[in-house]
Amino acid sequence: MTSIDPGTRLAELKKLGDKIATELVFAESGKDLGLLPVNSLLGRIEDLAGGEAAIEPLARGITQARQWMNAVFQSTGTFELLTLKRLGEWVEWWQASISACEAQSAPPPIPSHWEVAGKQPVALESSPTKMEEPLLTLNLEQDGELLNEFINESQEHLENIEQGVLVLEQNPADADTLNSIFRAFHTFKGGSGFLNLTAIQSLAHELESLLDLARQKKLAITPSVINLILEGGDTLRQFCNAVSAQATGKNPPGPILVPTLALLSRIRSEVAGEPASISFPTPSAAVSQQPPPEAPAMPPVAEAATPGVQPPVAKTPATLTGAVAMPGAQPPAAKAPSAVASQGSSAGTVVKVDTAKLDSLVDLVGEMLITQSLVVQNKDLNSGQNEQLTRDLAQLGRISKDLQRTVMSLRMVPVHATFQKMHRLVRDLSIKVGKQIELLTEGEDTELDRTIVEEISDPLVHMIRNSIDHGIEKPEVRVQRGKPAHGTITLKAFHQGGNIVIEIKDDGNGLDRERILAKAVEKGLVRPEEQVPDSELFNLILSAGFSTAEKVTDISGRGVGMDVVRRNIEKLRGKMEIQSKAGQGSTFSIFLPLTLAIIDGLLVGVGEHRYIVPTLLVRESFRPVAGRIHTLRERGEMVNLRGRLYPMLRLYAHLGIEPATTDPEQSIVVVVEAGNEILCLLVDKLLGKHEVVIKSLGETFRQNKYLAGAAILGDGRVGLILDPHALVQTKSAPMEAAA
Amino acid sequence: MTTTSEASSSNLLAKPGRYLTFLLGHEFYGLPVLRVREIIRLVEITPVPHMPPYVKGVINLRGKLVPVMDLRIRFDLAAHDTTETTCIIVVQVKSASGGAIHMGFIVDGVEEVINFAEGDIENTPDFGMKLATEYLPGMANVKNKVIALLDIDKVVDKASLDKLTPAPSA
Repeated sequence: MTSIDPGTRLAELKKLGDKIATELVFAESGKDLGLLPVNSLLGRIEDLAGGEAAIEPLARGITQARQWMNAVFQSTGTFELLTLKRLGEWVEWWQASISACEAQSAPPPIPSHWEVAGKQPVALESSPTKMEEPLLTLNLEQDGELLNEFINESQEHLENIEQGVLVLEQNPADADTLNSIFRAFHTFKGGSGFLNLTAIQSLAHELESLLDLARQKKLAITPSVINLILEGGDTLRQFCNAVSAQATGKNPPGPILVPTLALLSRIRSEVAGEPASISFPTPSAAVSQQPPPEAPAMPPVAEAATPGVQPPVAKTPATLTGAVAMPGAQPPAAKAPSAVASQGSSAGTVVKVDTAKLDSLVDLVGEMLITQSLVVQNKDLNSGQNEQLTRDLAQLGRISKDLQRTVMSLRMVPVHATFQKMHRLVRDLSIKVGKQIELLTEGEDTELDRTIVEEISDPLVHMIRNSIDHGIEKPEVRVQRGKPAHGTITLKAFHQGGNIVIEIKDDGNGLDRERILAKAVEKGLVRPEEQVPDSELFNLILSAGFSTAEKVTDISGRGVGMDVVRRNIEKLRGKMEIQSKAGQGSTFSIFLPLTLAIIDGLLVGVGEHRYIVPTLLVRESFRPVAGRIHTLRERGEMVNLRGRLYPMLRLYAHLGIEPATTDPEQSIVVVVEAGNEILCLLVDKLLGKHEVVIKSLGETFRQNKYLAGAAILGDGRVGLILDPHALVQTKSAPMEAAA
Repeated sequence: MTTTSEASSSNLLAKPGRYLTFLLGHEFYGLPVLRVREIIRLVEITPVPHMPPYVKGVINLRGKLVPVMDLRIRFDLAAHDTTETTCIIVVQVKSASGGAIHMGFIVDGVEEVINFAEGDIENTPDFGMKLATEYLPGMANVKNKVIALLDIDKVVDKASLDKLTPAPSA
């Protein structure tokens, strides 16, 4: 590196400035005469003055001039009147600054109108002056399939990015996470470049450079960087959604516009602002990479970590020259982490399979199990005479069971990704409402049916939003109540008795029992003197009328759209329970089936036929005694159940089947609960409880709303699954047949 | 006969080709063999309530649910006890949404596969209001037998399936 006498250096800089002035005399607007000489002179000035970042106006002035030149090169390639004017001003300023340096006084500040005229942020090196927001046009015919693949992969990358950023927020020094985000952006860039999606590519590129700097520890992970990455991820997602909408034919083909320029320039300035925010992970690491302390002049950054050496005062020209004498002493970048990037890429190998193939596999395995049990029960084979055969059959049974379990698990995915999304939600929302809220997640590895995981996301968002909005109090209120200022929401998934439970717990206000009770009385749901258990009372907020009632929403702070949540959960054949203690918080527990493919069913017999009632909806069953069944106008029948009357439906009459008996006292009443309604079904007998694989009845029977599907029973025959939700709707219909 | 069939060859509603012929009562019917998935013996059918009487219910075909239709009832023929030759022809038909679904037809017996040339097929004569023939586009006349050719997509026509019958009295 050059180490020249400071005085000579200043003289040289002054001479270069004079040369630029000479060149500018010949320059004309609209022509490129003098363009290249001016540019190269500026380049030499930049090289010479390179070490003195500490003298703000000088360095910034040079950068500013380079920007003007770059803009010229990137637009017309000829001088414009404005640029010429500015360059003229610049030369004057430069001469004045150099003179000031020589006289050891402070150089004049940069004229403020320069930056405004440039229409770009300071220190933006490579950006052109003005640019249209880039449009994205797809070549659907040629790239259709590739686009789909790109979108699919992108979703994964975007999720990785989002998750990673949230980890970084907690632990900015996490090299693995940094690398994984970097890789995600990198892959994004590659894919979009291949498909010629320029706008996506350039954004991904900038984000990648940002991450690269962070990876090399040249850039500290500050909240603003985190926000940039999150916003970048969101913008990329917008692109992907738009691309996917066109690729799948949802939207007509056409150019896609997602504004990126503002974000791009912010990223670039963050990248360019890098020297100002150099940070070393630990002081000791910084020291070890520096030259020995005896070195005559230290770069300013190292000073902080090297006590005993007089910190240079960067404000005076004297120290400026001292620093310039050692331009090579720039802090070495920590190179070590870059090697890590290549390691630890993908964790496991994954095969993508069409769901139709999976379903057919499930069908076949189910059928195999039935056949297997028929073989085992065959009397000719299994008379116990042949020990070898008995052993082999038992072994076959075990293998079949294992096979079934494995096949069923193919449809299962962990709830991890869904929970991760909630972190982002809590982060954004808590900032918005001005509360301090921490989300804890547990049991993220718990596996659920793929469909359930997809469908549960919306209800969870809704409930967490409720908790943030109404559950958790403002920090000052919390402190007053003797609670920690930051609220906690716990999101937990675990197994319980053949179900998956997802629990949302907050340590906020709790539900207001009195107000709910008052509302319930007002609506006639509860009699004033009635003693209602908490669980039943809280469940009322899930009913439709309740939730939309603005009054309760305002007062108790809960219930907006809770009926929608309940309906969504019921659609997944799940149910919900609420626990709450005033002032201590609420717990919402969602009970979900392990999989949608299997249903726990109560097998009932009507005449010669068998039907399945989902066990989850069965409250109880009993043989009615005389006098418990009442008729209304000789048609509508009701069952007296602990003092309350519920409508009864004779299943045989409804389904048009010849029953074994029409006498209720010889039959069984099955009480089912669907929505908030209760219906008593009269059946001939109970045949047991079975776990059955649900199958769709197909289009032929689509109009038949009383059936939720069908299942193949243990003997290979088909059993129809009744839909209690549809049945409760019919109970009001006249039942002439029930004679 | 040859002259008439040649004259009408261009506007035949039923296409020539290989047909699976089967018996309903004493009458012969045929359906395109390419649409046949398999022929199985009569198995236990689970009745589905609130359906037209000719939809007998569903069967389990190796883990798949297949709706079954009794062609006798569909064509308003006299009821007949099942015999040893009664069987179910599983065919592939177009569903309402344009996809392909499987459907079982109960027939009194399967005969043989016959290749009908253009000259063997005539359009079904118009019987007027007395007899609906929209799903019987053509007749074939070979070996002194008259075989009615079915358009199976029309046999399982969605419109007729959508008209659910109310619950019959017990």
